[in-house]
Amino acid sequence: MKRLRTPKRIRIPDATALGGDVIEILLSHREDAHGLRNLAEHTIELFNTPTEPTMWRLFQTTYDDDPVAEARYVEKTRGRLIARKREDATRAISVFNTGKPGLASFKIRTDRAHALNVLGFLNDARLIMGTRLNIQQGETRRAEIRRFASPDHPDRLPRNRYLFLTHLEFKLLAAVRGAFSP
Amino acid sequence: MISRVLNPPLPFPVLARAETITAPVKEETPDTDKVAEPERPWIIIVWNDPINLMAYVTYVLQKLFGYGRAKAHKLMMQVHVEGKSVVWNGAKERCEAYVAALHEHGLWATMQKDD
Repeated sequence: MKRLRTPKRIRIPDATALGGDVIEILLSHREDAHGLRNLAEHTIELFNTPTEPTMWRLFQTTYDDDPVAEARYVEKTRGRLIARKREDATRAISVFNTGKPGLASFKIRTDRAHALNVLGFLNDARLIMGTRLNIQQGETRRAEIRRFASPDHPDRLPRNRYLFLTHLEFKLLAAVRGAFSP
Repeated sequence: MISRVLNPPLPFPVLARAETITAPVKEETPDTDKVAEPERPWIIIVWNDPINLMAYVTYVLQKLFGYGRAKAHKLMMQVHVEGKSVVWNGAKERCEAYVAALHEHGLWATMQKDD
């Protein structure tokens, strides 16, 4: 797992729990919402692409040393697992489509149930992207972030997108937990 | 031996037990040659990974198992520092349901019989 450090040179998103059941996501620009929507659509396409090499991270093995039990378990649970992830991404798209321009920001307001769908989508998208980028333990420490942000780094843009998603997930999680009681 | 954790409530409603009247049945003589071995419980292991946020793992453990924040945080830190943690133990079917829920939330979880 990773400790969060503040990245530099990326547009930092925010999320806040407002009164009642309302969660507000603050983005810098409308284009950020478009990018998130496109990413959600791309994620849904990946669910229909079993050969995608990074999907193993979303569909984990349950019985490491028992292939028969694993096959039975996959048959029993895989359909529901994909349906749940597809639902998260689909509802996230509907949330990203509802934003409105604010003062130097782009505001998206939604309820807690839909915010949880967005949270699920963000985590899935980070798992896929982080697997593609071969993110390792401690890779978000400041020195690494500076390295990611370097114009010479070949993965600078996708790594910045990954850090953007990480911060949005962190902020949204904090907002959702504001109304979480246990 | 991996330490066990207390059984938390299920994350889904359980039907209340209905009051029943037991009909008389013929009593069978137990087969004394067969000695039933107590079944080993199953354990759920959550493994460390470099992508899931620490706060997110704590949140999922709270949400699915009903743990308090302190206990969920302790288990999460065990995952982070030691690489894995036994987060629940019990019957096989319930373990499967919990592992499925953990996978739906993106956590890396497996299950096995307790050693």
